[in-house]
Amino acid sequence: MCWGVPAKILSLDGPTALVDFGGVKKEVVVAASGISSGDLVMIHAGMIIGKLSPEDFMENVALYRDIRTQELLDAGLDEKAAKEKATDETDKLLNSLGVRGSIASIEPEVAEPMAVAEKEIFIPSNAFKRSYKVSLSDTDYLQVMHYTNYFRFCERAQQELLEGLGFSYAALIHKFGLFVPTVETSGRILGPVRLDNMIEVAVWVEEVGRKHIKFRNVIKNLTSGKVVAECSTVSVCTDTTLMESMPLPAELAEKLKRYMVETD
Amino acid sequence: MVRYLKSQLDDRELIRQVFRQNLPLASKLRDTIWKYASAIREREKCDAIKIMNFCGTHEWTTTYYGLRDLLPPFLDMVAGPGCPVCVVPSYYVDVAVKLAREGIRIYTYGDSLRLRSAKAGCPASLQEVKVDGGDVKVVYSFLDAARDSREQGKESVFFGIGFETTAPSYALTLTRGMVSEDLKFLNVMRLTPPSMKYTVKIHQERGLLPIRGVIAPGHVSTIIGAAEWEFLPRVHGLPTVVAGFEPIDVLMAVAQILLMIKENRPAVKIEYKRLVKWGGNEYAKKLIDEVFERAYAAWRGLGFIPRSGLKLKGEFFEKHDALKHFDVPDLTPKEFIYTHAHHGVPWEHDLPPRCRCGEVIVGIAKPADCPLFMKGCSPLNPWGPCMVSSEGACAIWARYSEMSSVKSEARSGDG
Repeated sequence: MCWGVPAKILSLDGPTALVDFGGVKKEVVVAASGISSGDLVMIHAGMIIGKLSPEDFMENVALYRDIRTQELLDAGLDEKAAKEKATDETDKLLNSLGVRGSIASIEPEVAEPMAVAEKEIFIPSNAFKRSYKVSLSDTDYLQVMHYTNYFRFCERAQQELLEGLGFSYAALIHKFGLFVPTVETSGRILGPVRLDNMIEVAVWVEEVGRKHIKFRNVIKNLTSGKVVAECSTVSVCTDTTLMESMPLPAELAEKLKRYMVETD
Repeated sequence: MVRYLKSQLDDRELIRQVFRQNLPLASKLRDTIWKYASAIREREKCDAIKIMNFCGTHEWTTTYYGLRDLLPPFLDMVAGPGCPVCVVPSYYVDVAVKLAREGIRIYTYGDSLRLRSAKAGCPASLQEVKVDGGDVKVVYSFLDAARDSREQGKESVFFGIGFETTAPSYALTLTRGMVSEDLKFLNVMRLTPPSMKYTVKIHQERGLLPIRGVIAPGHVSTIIGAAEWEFLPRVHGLPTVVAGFEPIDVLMAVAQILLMIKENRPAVKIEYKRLVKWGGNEYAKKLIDEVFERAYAAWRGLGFIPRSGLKLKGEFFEKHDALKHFDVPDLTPKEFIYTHAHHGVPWEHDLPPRCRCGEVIVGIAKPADCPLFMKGCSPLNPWGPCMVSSEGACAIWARYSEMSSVKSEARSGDG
């Protein structure tokens, strides 16, 4: 609803003013500050929304100069010559319409460069990747995946990574008498995953200590093509009977090297 | 310089000379636009470049002055949701009609008078109630309504439509105690940036030809400030130009948008420098904050958009809200009704059968794509909401399309 009509102010009376639309006089409310009698104002739905001043008008016209300057620059002129020529042309245009002012004193608008896009999240090429489909039970009331499920999917991918190396959870417990509970997590959720979206979970190993493994996960929403979460988890090798930490089997540590990437 | 300007011509005449009847500048701008648009098309090998003119008045300028004929056929100018009459949910029309039939005086702007409810029945619009002898009065402004209701001393309701541009007039009139308690306010205020966000989102979600640039509304930005549109280049990478409403204004905006696309440097620019400031009209913004708060709001044909409406707050709500006073339930998102057990009415698809206004206002369909356009639905007998107001895309096309070829050749692969 931008229908506006310019009018001249005849008199001001507190919150209202009498304006002249070029013959028709009408009382309107004043919704702008710094208005005085005789000003040219813009009226919308019985209300003054702003004042039109000659300075602003010239600035408005100067915009053509900016467009023209750019065009001349593209045509191969140098900056100073382009600006002068564009100013000259705009002035001539104005003069032909009966305005004798010049826009030479008005500074061209400086285009502000927009903020640079965020640093892209790195996924190493040798990371272990698995795709899953988000089902109804993963989502919350808004049919967006609940935050806890990001961890569930990461855990599932880690489990499959270990299974691929020959260390399924069952094997760890029954063959080695140990387990790798997660003791520390940290993560950032960057975007939503909705019902029926496909996600890709990338897992790699950042650190293998004497007793712990640090996994790093990045979840990508394949439907929207955006990275939606990143998290890292630390698992500690634990003896199932003593419930105490113990050194990782050398075999496992060796095999984990396949997915080892050191990032930041 | 300033003195020169004042002595030369009447200021209004000058604006007309420079921004409306300026043929040499128009032809130069046309050349610039053709050059840049062709360069972009060549570089990106795209069928069309889609630019959205958010505001209904921009659509009017574009169509009335035949700008589409000046522009390259592959430059697709589509209308946006910037028409407050087109987005009034049918439910509020039903409420106004019901109140009018109960003998309450309804004040309305001229263009919402003919707004039809989606429900079949008679009377379907305030105009029909008026014909039936209902007490419906057309006013020019809220101030006039307040004056009139004070004199009459009769229970009355103002049909309060509008965007941010109109909100300060309501706020000022309410805060200065110019409104008697008899006059209630049926609130259908909507905000423009959330609906712009929605429009961009819907284009992305449905995989339509993307919007490449936005001509932002001039008078709305006069109030809220051009800085309010910064999310468009920042989040969506869309060049945005806040433009005025004369033909040269629109051409300059298009040229600037193309320039930004070509340079690949999206930003917000103000073309309408003679009125728009970066921070907007601080005085008016403060007034709005005093009286209104943001709320979940329904848009006709679209449904609920979060934080896209204004609602009276505090004492103003207690004293002047029409729905509260007459104990009529408000439109409420379905989820809220179920979870909080509030009384409320869920929004339902509220367009007449076959009407495509919901797609027209977000720039997915052109008015001429609608099966009702100029068949069942014409400016004389408007069926859908876009045919009602002088700012509705359908009404503009119906009235002025003879002046230019509105059927752009570069039809996006839209549905």
